[in-house]
Amino acid sequence: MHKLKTTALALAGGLMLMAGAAMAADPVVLNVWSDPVRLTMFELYDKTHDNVTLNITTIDPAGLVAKIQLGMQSKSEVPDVIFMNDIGYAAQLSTRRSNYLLDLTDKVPQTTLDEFYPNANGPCYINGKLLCMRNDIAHDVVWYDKPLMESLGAKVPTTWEEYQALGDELVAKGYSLGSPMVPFESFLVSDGCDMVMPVEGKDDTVKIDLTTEKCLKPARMIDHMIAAGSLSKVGPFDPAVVELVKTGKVPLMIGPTWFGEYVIKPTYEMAPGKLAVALPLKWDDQTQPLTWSWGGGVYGGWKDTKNPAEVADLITWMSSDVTNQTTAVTLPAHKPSSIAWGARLKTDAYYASPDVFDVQVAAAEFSHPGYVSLRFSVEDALVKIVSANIAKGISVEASLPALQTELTNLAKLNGYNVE
Amino acid sequence: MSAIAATATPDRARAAKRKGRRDTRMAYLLLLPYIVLLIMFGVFPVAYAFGLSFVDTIENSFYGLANYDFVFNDFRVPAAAINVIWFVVIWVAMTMVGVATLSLMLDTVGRRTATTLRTIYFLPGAVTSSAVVVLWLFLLDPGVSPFQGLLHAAGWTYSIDVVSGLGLASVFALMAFFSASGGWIVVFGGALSSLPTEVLEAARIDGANRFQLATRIKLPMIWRSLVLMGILSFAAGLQLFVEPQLMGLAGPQSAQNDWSLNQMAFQYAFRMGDFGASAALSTMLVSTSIIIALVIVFATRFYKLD
Repeated sequence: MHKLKTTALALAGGLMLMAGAAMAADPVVLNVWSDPVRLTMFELYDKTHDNVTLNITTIDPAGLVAKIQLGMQSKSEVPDVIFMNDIGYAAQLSTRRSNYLLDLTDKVPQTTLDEFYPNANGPCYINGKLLCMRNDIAHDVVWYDKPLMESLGAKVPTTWEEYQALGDELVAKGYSLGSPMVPFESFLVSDGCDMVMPVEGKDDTVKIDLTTEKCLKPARMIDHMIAAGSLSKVGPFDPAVVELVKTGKVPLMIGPTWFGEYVIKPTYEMAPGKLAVALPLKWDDQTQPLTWSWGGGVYGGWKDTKNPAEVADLITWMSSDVTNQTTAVTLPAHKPSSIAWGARLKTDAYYASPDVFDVQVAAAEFSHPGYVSLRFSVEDALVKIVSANIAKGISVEASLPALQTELTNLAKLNGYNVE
Repeated sequence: MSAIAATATPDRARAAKRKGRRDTRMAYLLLLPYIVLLIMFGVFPVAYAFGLSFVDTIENSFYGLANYDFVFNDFRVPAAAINVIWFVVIWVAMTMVGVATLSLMLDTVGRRTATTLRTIYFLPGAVTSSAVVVLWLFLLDPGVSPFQGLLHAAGWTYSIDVVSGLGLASVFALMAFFSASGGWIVVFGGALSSLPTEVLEAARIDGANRFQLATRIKLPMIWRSLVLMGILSFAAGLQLFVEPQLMGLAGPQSAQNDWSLNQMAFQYAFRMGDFGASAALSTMLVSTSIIIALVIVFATRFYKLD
């Protein structure tokens, strides 16, 4: 008995010693859930910061929210920092039922936030609080095949009216304008249509009104263009659309900033020296364009983390450290980083003109302030109502009332007040 | 065991009883591993979900019927229920007619041919249902399908045209039919080969041809098993999840995230973090299946010996 006691004491003493040593020398350990693409960036932080050790796990981005829900429900394995590849996750992870995200409002200096592009952190402000930081921006621009447009004698449009007319002109010559980035969201909101827009100063409140001319006008344009054949009714990755672009039948298309590098080059296989980019379109009665985005990831932290200061530092560094972001895969949301990042585009012989990056930077000024994080997917509702109706031959304009009902129901179900 | 026999020869009866008891004990012993697993992964989760459905999972407090109320007030649930019912009706009808026809036809051809064909029918069932979905998305896309000509002849240019033309319920029923019926065809092959040969012989001598033999003699004899298959398929069909969930693979314009009831349960738990509402919906789904099972066991004659 006595012997047992001594052994136990010795063991306990040893453990305490070990714990003490760990406290003195070991850096703070943060659990990080990354997507495969952001892995090298997290590793760079780990390498360059001695006070922090990152325990990085690569997570399938589509399963991220589910995994965090399970972790929080079982009170284990909740990461300190996450990368979210869908801006909607920020809202989904900051509700009463899934309250994960750390409030960064007082933890990130305003001077750093001011260095981001306008509205770049829009998806991170939820009810006035900064809950995440944007990694990359992905606003729509006009991509075109410069030599093909010239040989067709076509002018690159600057307004939606010109765009529609160009479509009619191209159809007559056997060409088209590709796919409208199904499900039409970016087109429908281009004139300021209130398709689930946050209401300034009112928490959990959105405005949904699809009956105004601001919504009907773009809807009519889509209907006209689909009927005329200048716009495909399916997405940009549909085999039929890919084939069309590959065979050089689409001289111009609207797409996000990453489209050139990651779709037009590898998927559409456009030859070097052809691709150029122009500013987003505006309506005749608008003073400047209002351009929607497709994508752009964000970083967030855990509200119950033991090391909030380190978490905030990691998130800030990931999104705004120039050395880190210079080698990022997509256009950084942090302006100084993006300038360093964009240098390589200016000398890239793939593009037909050296201004590809400058145009993207200029276009960022017109980013839609309504591109925010919501607890439900407007895109899914558009698929359910509008895409299904288009397949049945029902126009977008005629689908708007049903879409309004669907969106209103979804908003209320997810706890929003609807105006 | 009759009382008269027991009083007449008490010793032998006691011995028989003891042997019977030993047999029963042996049976339970053999059943034990399954029962343990059933309790761990079948009964316990159901009971846990049932309990969870009355709880607010954030405050961990009793929530009454609030979770059920939430589910009933979700505008998507009735639509999803209708979707699933349509799917089940189409799928069960396809399965019953298709499996019966194919099984009866296989029973008339030579044994070796029948075995080969049965194996081929069974193959799609050996592929996981998620892979089957991807395969079908490929088959139903007029841009890449090997049946391009057929789809184009129907006036369909894009996969959304096909889906819209056939209806989602039919598309999912088609996918489920090809993945699930092979197994049933094998089962019915066994059932048909064990039919009493003297009856079939007698019918043949009476001048019944193959068609009459199949429809007048064999079909009535396997009818009950067919109905059982229908009921089991119905219960399984209510759990539809994989097929609609994977539609998004065909492109964003095809994604269906709230098409079936099980998808709704998934959305509640893993999108909204509302495990209580998810448990409430799952409880209702499993109750439906349990009621069906109870009806089969107690209200029909399926498990009574003739």
